[in-house]
Amino acid sequence: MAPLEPYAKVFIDADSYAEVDPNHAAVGCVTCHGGVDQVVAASGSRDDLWVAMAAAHQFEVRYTSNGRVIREKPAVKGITRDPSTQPELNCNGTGCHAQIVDLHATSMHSQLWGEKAKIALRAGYESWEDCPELLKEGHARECSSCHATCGQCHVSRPTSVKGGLLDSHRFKRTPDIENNCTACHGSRVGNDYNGHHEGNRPDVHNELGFDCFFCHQENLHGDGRTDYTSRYEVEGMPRCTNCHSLAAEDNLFHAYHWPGEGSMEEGLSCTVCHSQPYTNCLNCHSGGVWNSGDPEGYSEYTDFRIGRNTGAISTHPVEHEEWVTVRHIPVIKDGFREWGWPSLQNWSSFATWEYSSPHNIQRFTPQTAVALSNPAYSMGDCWMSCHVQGPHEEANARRFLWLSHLDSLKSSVTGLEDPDEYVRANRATAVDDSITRYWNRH
Amino acid sequence: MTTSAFSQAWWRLLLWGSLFAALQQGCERIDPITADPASSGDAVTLSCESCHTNRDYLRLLAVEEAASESAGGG
Repeated sequence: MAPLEPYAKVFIDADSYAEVDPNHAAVGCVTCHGGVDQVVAASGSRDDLWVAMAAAHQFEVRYTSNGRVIREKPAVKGITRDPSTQPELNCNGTGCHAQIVDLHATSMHSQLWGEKAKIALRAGYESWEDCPELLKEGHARECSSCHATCGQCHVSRPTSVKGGLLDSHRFKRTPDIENNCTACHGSRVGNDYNGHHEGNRPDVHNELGFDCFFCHQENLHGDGRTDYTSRYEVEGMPRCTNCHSLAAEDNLFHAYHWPGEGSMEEGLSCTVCHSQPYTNCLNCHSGGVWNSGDPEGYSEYTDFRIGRNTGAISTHPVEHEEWVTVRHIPVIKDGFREWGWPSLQNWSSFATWEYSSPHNIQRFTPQTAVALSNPAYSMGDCWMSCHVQGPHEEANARRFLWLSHLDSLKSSVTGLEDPDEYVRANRATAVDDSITRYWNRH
Repeated sequence: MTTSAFSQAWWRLLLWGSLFAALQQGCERIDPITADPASSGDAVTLSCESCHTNRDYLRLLAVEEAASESAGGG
């Protein structure tokens, strides 16, 4: 996403802010942002206006040797760019948004509970609460810094894309998909949903015009819980069956692969058949390498892999699905050394290929190709699009996360101290090279 | 062109260039939004809205550092 021009980040396209948002205009700019509402410039010259602006914003100016005013970053921040960094003071100062402010303080969006829980476990602690301050400070500095104030969803673009007012400082009840949601969730969700990966189509729900909130009706402001270990535990997370409730009986494929149904009791997640290749990561991105542009830094690749649902999360919405799409999210022992934390002693205690929810759903995919070529998809050929047998054996095999694939991948994951430990960490998720009995049967 | 002619042309270019630069600096003024009647001369009273609803003012004054420090909500 291209950053806005500097002026456009702070421009209000109206004669007065009251025309844009009379309710919040009644509060007044300086009530939330600080600074001084009225200043007098000695003249209308650029330099005098600069001095006046500095006084209004309460930052300093510097004079060159010939007396010319030049810009200066504020030595002391007299003005608050984002008042909602203190929501209890600025969003609920007059009791306006009390409930939301209370909930947001513990929400998944502001706290990243799932990520914290994983870091704690990999670092050798039972919970985030038990973690030392060094880890918490590193997380706050790098991970939590853009996750996420009220303003970054309802007033401006988030800091991760350099900010900027959305709509003349109008407070928007529903965040904007492009400027808010995928500004942060762009790498995985946005690229998937918009079909940006080569050879992919946009998600069918996108093609039908559905926005994020058509499916995501969970309370994004949180519910007060502070013991989440995964985002999948959030009450009301989208499920395909919320809309596609009778799909188990729709066709022969569904009848055989639906979790807990038919003869294939192990079951597949919907995305195993109905998603396209999606973003995977090849290395870690702590220490500022996320946006560094360093070719040796963070990198992604597109892949599609089916692995075992390890069931590590007891309240997992798809706990009955044995086979799921998994995403490569490498973790290494010294991945947080930039935070001053030299070693995640239990980094390999669970898989670094994790359950994923690709946002690029299509009714027909290479996995369902038989349905296209033969609408009758009889028992005689239904195994041809996935099962590792017959004329498409080689292509079909590439869709699974084999142990042998992990073994070949370990050399390309940067920073591994012990590459074999990487394979061991993912053994439970991967497919053993002795093929499961269903895949070569028809 | 002789060396002397070249030198004269060079000085003329320098002179006119300097004059143009000085003129431009002197003209780098913008119309006041509201003149403060209590002030003498060109004094200008500015509120938050005076600048933030004026694209020209912001283009003239806003620079990356200032904008990033003062943008609402990041």
